[in-house]
Amino acid sequence: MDSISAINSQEQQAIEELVKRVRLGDTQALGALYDRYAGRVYAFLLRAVQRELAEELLQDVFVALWQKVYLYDPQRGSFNAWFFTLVRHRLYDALPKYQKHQSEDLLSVPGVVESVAELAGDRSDLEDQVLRLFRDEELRRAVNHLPPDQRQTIMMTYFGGLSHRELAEKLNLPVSTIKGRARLGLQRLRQLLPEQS
Amino acid sequence: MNCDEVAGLEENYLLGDLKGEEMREFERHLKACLICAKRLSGYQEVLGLMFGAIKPVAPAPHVRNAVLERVDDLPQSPVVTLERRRPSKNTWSGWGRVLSPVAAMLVVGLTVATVFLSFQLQQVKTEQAQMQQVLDLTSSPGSWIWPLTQPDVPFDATAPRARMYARPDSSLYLLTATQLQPPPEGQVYRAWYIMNATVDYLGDVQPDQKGNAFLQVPTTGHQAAYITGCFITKEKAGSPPDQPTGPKFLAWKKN
Repeated sequence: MDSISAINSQEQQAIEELVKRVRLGDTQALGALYDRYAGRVYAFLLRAVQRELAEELLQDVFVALWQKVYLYDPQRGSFNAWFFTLVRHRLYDALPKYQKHQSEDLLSVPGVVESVAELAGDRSDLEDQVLRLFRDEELRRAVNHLPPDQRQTIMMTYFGGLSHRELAEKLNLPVSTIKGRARLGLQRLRQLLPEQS
Repeated sequence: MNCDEVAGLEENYLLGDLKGEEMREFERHLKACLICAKRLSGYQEVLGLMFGAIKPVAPAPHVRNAVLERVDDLPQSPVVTLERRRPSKNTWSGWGRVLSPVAAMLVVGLTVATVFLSFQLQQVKTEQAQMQQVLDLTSSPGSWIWPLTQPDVPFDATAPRARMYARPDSSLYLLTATQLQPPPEGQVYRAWYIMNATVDYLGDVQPDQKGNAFLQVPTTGHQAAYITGCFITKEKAGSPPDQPTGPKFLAWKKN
């Protein structure tokens, strides 16, 4: 089984090298980064939008990576964190345009579950579905140990395709409450997850 | 910039979207606030980890080709092209006398700027070194953490409390306090420590609007092992910090 520490320091170094080459305009390096990340980005996008739109967004995300890689600063955080934040922001920017609530049956795609809009009626079921996004048992266990409100917030806002505002509206709570829950949830997760090498 | 504002901007910071004064204020806050620095570091670490743990779903092969085709002629960052017009000989000879003093002033200006920037750089390096000391002190397993609580009061999670961090080989004492009310009018919180049965002044403790305080005290003696107690009192503002006069508000004593 894959460990949560699968991306070890060697892998990190390889990624940093690729990022440096992409900064210098090396399209082959971009291709190599695509090969490493596209599957995860695509899986993440499929949580929120249809397959066709996910493919379109997947392209946009890697074009944005090409254009904005000069903004990545390893002193501020890992490439994974920077890139995932970029992906999420691209998704949130695109959602209104792509009319995310248009949904189609995505179950035909392996590993993919229903869209957020279809599952919004059943919160706990949706959280379970989002949890299945992760291949790592250790991570799933850690997420399950979170208090329910924090777990729901993290699953829905970071991985379920909802913005903080949207979840706040759905639950009829202030946005600040949702942000606070997300912050506390991530802090708690940090304590529950093992140290990275 | 306060902690809430920093929390609201941390994704923009991570993305590299903050510019100018906003960026400087953000980084200034991070340097001064261990809580925000730690939260941001943990935040980006957990998100990166979770992203890394997503079960991949293979996209259609044509998407990869489409990406590489799209970026083929696409610039990566805003490119600024400076067009320089070569001055004609006649023009230069006419303006030469005017430009020479201007060039001299520019040289002087650049020299001053270089000296100023070197000074700034030195300051940044010093701040970084201090920050590193604080991180070492708070994260090292060899550090002592002494809890200061209200004497003779049962534990209450909402009551003021403090911690002092020290280590035998560190040249820094650190005291953090939380849930402190502003001191009464005309008074200050003052921290003290006891070493060899002598009370010494550590520093004034100034809570921020949220009741948190952070006091760093450089030390040269490496004598933390001899500290047998530390406490905070309320003293008259402006009075010389010779000896404590008020009762112990928060205290720790070695058993």
